[in-house]
This record gives sequence, structure tokens and C-alpha cells, in this order.
Amino acid sequence: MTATVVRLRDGNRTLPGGARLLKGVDLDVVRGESIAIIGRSGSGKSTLLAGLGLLAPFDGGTHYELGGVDVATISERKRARLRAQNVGFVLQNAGLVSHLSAIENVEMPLIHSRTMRLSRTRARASEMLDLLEVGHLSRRRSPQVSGGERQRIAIARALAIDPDLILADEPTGALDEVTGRRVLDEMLSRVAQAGAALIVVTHDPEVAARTDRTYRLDGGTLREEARAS
Amino acid sequence: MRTLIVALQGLRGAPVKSILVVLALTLGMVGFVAVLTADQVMRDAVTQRAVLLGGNASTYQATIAVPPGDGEAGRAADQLERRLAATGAASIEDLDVGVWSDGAVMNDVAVVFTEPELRDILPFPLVEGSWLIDAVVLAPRVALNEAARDALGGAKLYEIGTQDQRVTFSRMGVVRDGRSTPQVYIHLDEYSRWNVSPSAVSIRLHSPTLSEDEVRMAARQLGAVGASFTLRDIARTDQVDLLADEIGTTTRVLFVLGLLSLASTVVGIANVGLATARSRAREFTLRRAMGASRSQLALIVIVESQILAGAAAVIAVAGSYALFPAVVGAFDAQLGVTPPPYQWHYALICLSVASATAIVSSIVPALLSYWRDLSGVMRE
Repeated sequence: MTATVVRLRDGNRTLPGGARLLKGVDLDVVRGESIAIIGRSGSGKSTLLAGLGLLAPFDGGTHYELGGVDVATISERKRARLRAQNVGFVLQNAGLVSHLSAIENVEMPLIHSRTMRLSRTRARASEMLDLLEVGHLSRRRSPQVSGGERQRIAIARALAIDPDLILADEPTGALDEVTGRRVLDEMLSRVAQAGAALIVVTHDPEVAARTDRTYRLDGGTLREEARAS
Repeated sequence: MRTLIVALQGLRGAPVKSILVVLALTLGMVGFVAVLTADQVMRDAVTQRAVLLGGNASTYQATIAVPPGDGEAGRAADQLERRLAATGAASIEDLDVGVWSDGAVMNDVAVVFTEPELRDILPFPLVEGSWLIDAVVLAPRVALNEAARDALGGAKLYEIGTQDQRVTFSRMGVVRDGRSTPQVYIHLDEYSRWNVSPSAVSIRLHSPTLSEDEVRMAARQLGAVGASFTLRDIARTDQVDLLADEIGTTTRVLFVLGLLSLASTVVGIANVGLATARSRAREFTLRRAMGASRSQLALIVIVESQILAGAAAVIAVAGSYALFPAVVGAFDAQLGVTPPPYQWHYALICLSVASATAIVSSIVPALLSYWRDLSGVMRE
């Protein structure tokens, strides 16, 4: 995997109804770097994140390299494998499966991505929960834990496969200010330790300010925001 | 192994659903087996009752071609009966023989050359006089059915034969054979003595255990050792079949009830599956986002459903096996017949249905996740 984790050129996305959500978006993110994408609701932030996470395709003509692999040149199956083995997701409402315990949720990407022998997945999941200081909740299901704990479990799940890219969609959106700050601290610190690239979609300027760079998505185009020194 | 782990997690995660599915499958299967068992018991009861009451377990009518000659028809019937250890009654058909009255043939009156045992096999009631007997008598005799009596008027003597050769027969009795067409019954041996050469003989063979294959085999063996006849046709004509036909409607209704029982199971399970389809579809979409392929999801669903179907099958087979004596016992007490053994093939049918039902009901959420936009996980 090269230092440049995300290299997007002329990223376009048109919805089935004809509306163009993304217009010629360019973006580069390197290992260890964190960036924030801000913008109004419906501006296409989550669409951009889904495209970067290979959950939805960009339009034809877009050039996207994930970890040096040109995704346009590989089959859907290989794209799925690339996603499973290299991209961790932290979703807005944690995105945990409610009938699974915390440890089973963290184990889920390890089982499906086949990055690890089955005999090791439980230990790895346990290790990640301990790292996020929620090891004592490993047997609990998501409805039995608090919002902050849910997000920590989600971060543990995203980090479990040791990804090159972590995509977080409003990771603190459903949390109170204090809990949100703690979760964000946790995520930035763990991502930095893992040497992964982090892209956070957020409405919260405070969250954006904690990342290395901030981009604004407006009218389908992506512009870097100037930071006050 | 990974698939099994995920499948077990899915089942454990929805215990109420799993229990409801197993319960529905179990009840459906037990109901199906119970209904089909009741149907089987009824059929067996009819057969056994027919035998106990002196009826015929199985009766076949075999038509054989015999060469011309004195007594050939009787010998053919006798050989076949002995070989099969069956009792029989022969009748001659396809002969250019008619009943004559005042020098003119009565075209609408059929002549049946038979043995006295025919009335044991087909115990049609005697309306007047007596039935044909084996005793040697000086005058050839006939029995008529009611239609023939009406067609021939009150005459006591009839001319029977061909254009060239006719014999006068005396009327012994009248039977109610259930036929609306006129029939005149003549003793086969007497007919043979009269020396009209038959071209075909219809023999009724009956015994508790006779089968069509046995009759065909016996005819072939007799032909191989030089017997002078050829088997033309064979058909089952016994009363057991008639009785079975009479209860046919009931058994069909029972069978439909059994199918309805299974259908309600299918609908119930599908309902349970669909009720949880949305949350499962969301889970499957998330799993796909995290690397599960469509085939992996399908496999998970199939394994999950088959674990449920297997559990249900074990309980259902055990339950229906335990319930079986009670079902057949009720008939046993009522009908006084020996109950049939447990029908394992019903359980196999149930297992197949349970298996298919479980798959169909579980595949819905998997299919829903197939069609879902993966980016939907970002918004949920």
C-alpha cells in the first residue's frame, strides 16, 4: 500500500433522477492524515463517502485509486474484497447489529473480509474492544450500552481489520458534547496510532477543526477551507 | 465454519422468531402426518373389514383365449385357479351365440357362460328361483337378470346357440346383478358339454393375497408348459376397490386437509420471516458492506433455515411417532381392525416441505439485501 491512500480525480456522481451531486471532485489523502468534509445537508457528503468506500460507484470518467489500486479497472468482486480488507466504516448511529453482542459486532468484518484465521478473530475483536476501553461490554448487545459506548464499539469494529482508510459519517452526531469529544479524541488517537487515513463527514465545526484539513462540499464541488492560524 | 457461526448468531439473535418457526413447522408436520395416517387407517380398515366379513381381498378378471374343443374353457380356468390357489368363476365372452325366441335372435340379450362360484364373488341377490349349481342335471339351465327377464317375457324355456346349432335351456332363477342390460347366465361346464367352441373365456380369480403380477406370471408359466390358452387382458374387479372408491371422497378431503395444514404452516413461517425481513435485510446489507458476498449471505440463510427445519423435523417426527398410537388407537377401538405401522415416508415428505418452507421464508431478507443500495448503510 502506497503512502497515498485516496487519490480521486474528477469525481462525479449523478443520481438516477439526473441530479448531479458531485462535479469534478479532486481529493488526496495520505496515511496518518485526517480530513473533514463539511457542507449543508443533501450536499452530497455521504455520497462522496460512499463512493470513496466503494459502497456506490462514481460516474464514468472518474479516476479513483484506493491504496494505489485503480478501482475502475477491477471487477466488482475485487472491489468488494478491497473494501472489506482496507476500509473501516464508523457510521452515524454506530451501525451495530442489535442482536449481536459487542464482540460479535467487532468480529463481523474480520469474519467476512477473511483477513484473519477464524481461530484468531475473537481474540482480535477482544483486543480492539480493550483498546477502546469497552472490553467489559463485550457480551452486551448494542441496545444495552450507551451512545458513546456504541460509537466506541463501532470504532473498534472499523479498526479491527487494520484498515488503510477509515470513513466516519457524523461519528459524533448522535452524542452529547462531552461524549462526542471523548469519542473523537479516541478515534483520532487510534487512527494516528494505526497509521490509517481518516475522512470524517460532519456538520460540527469543532470536529472539523480537530482534523488536519477541512473541505467544504458545496454545489457538488469540493474546496479546501482555510484554517485560522 | 464462518457461515455456520454467522447462522447460529442469527438464530440466537432472534430466539422468538426461531421458536415460532420451529413450532409452526412442528405443528404443520404433525398435523400432516396425523391426517395422512388417519386416511391410511381408514383405507386399511375398509380392506380388513371386507376380508373379515367374507369379502374378497382381491379379485381379478382375466380374459384368456382358448382353442376350440370340448371343455377347453373349463380346463383353462381350472389350470389357472389351481396354479394360483385361488377360487374362480369363468365366463365366456365374444361368442357368436345369442338367445333365440320364435326363431329370431334377441340381439340385445347378452349370454354369459359362467361357473356357480360367480355369485360368491359377486353376491348379487337372488330375486326368484335358484342360482346355477354344479349338480349334473338332464336339462341345461340358465339364470337371468331382471332386465333379461323383462326382455324375454314370462317364458321358462329359451333357445340359446348359433344360427346352426341351438339348445333349449330352462330358467332356474332371476338375479339382481346391478346391470341394466339383459344378461343370461349359463353354467360353463354345461355349455362346454354342449360343445360350442369358445374363442375367449373370462375368469374371475380371487383370494386374500392375489396380485395382478401373480396372475400374469401364472399364465406365462402355464403357457410355457403347454397349456392351451393365452392371457389377453386382466383387470381388478373386487369389492375392496369398490369400497375404497366409496370412501374416496372422504380420503380426498382428508388429504386436502393435510395439505391445508402444511399450507398454513408455510404461510405462518413466511409471515414470521417477513415480519423480521426489514431488520435482517439491514443486517445483511451491513454484512455486504463489510465484505460478505451475495453467495455467502445466501449460504448463511440456507444454513439458518435448515438448522430450524432440522430441529423442527426431529421434534415433529418424534411427536408424530408418539402421537401415532393415539390416532390409530381411536380407529382401532372404533373399527376393530389392526392398525397400520407408522408411515415413515410421511415424515420424509414433511421434512422436505419443512426444508423448502424454511428456505423460502428466510430467503426474502437476503434477496432484499441483494437489491439494496450498499450506500444505504451510511444513512441508517
